[in-house]
Amino acid sequence: MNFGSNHILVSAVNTQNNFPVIEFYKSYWFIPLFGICLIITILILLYLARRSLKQKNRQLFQLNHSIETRMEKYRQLAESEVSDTKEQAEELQKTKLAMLNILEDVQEDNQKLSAYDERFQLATRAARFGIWEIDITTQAVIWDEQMYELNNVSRDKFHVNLQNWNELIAEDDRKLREEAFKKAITTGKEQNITYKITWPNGEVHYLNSYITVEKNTEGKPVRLIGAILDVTQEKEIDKAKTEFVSLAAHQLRTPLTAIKWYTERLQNTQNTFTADQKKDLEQVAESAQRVIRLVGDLLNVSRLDLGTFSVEPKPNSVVKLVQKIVADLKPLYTQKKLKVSEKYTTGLEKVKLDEEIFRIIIENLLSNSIKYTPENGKIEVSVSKDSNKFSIIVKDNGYGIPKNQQSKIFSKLFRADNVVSKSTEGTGLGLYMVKSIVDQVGGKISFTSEENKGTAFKVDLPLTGMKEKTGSKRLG
Amino acid sequence: MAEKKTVLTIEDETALREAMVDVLNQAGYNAVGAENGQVGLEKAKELHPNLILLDLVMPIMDGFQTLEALKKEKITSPVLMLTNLNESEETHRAKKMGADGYIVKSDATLAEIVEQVKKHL
Repeated sequence: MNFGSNHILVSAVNTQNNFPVIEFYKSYWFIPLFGICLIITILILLYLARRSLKQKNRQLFQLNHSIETRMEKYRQLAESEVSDTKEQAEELQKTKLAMLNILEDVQEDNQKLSAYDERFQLATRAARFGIWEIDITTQAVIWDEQMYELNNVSRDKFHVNLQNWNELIAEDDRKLREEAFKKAITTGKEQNITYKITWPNGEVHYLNSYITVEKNTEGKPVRLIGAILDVTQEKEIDKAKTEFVSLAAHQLRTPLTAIKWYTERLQNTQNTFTADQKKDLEQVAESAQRVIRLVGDLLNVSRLDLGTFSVEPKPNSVVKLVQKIVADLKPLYTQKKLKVSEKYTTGLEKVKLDEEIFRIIIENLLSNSIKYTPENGKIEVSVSKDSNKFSIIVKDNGYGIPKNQQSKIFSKLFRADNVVSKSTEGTGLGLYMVKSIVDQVGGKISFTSEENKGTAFKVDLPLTGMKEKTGSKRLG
Repeated sequence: MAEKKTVLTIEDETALREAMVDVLNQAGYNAVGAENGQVGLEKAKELHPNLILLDLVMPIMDGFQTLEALKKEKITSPVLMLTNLNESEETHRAKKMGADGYIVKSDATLAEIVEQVKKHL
């Protein structure tokens, strides 16, 4: 449009200066030209307007499209949200049901548990057991009902803590208990001790305390848990039993000693007895000696059973001890014309042994071989050594132990069928005693045997020696 | 001839006491018997024996009480305790109280007792 008007002005100016303008105005031919120009201009304007409209329209369409896309997105998002929420709701419902089920189970378990607890309480009450707990870090102590009764203190007045508890225990035994606690914590092993308490009315009671350790997942001890049992009655029975055996032994030993000594005196009276009488005297002496031994064995067994014997190990040469025992029994095996061979390892240093107890073990095994091997038989005594233990083997080619009786060989008073008729000497206490001793000094005993072929007993003891044990009595 | 050494045997069991006294006399000692701790103590004060055989379990005054009383009376004769059984508690206690040794009666023969006496004189 601007172009058009400029053109007209230029034309006018130019016409004024160079061309005959009057002619131009005066002629009428410019009218159609002007009309054409106008139409063209209008057409151009129309085109431009259309183009601009189209553009706007396109923009609008795009806007519309983008809005629609977004709407769609929001719709989808909303839909997915709804479905998620739905799923979550379902999940929640399921969880709720599961929780309810668990709750039901827990309630059921609780009922069972309280029934068990009741039974447990009943059992501990019936067994007269008291249960206690000590938290190792806080030192807090928990007692069950029975503990108050066992210690004869009132639940309302007695404040349970380590110190108050300790004060109930006899002074001499406090250390014992403390050491057992320490040992349980350091070794993690169960401990069993018996200590004395005195009730306010003066009654003395013995409580057996069984101590265990509870560890956390890292294996660190966190709690001591224990059971206590009143063993006063058992203690009294035990005491009566020991006293009875001891009394019987004392009472028997004195007249037996008298028989032994007077027989010895008679035997030493020169030339006044006939050969037959001398033989009779020998029988008396031998029998007296056997009864003395039997009484001694019975006493040993009671001491082993009650654990009242002491083990006092001192450095000893194993080979020398065994050689001495073999030499001491020489009269017995030469009498039966048995051939005894000895085989000893070299390089076995001194080992801590209780000589008397070691003698009981070897003497019993060797005298068994002598007893249960027929005349002209063979016995082999050997001592061997390996990295952490040494072994004594007593092997014979004697009667052997019948297969079906081998499992009973270490039982008290047991004697195998095949030897009862052959030897009247055995008491059935020897092997029981030997096994009990070997077990209690930290050793091991085993055997192999075949009837009519022979038996081999093997005793293993650690190179560190016998376990020391305190006790008021000796084995002899 | 050298003077006989005196051995006092304090033992309540007559049969055992007499057997020991006889055998010790035969072995050349001047053996004297006492039937309990009290009598034993009196005889020890009177005779000042060269050795005392002292039973542990006795009525009136047992071996420990007698041993204590002997020490109190400053009787320094060596003492061998006679025990019926091998009781570690008792033999330890006897040793602590100054006994010079012990003999388990039922384990020993009379000859062995004479041997022990000879060893301690």
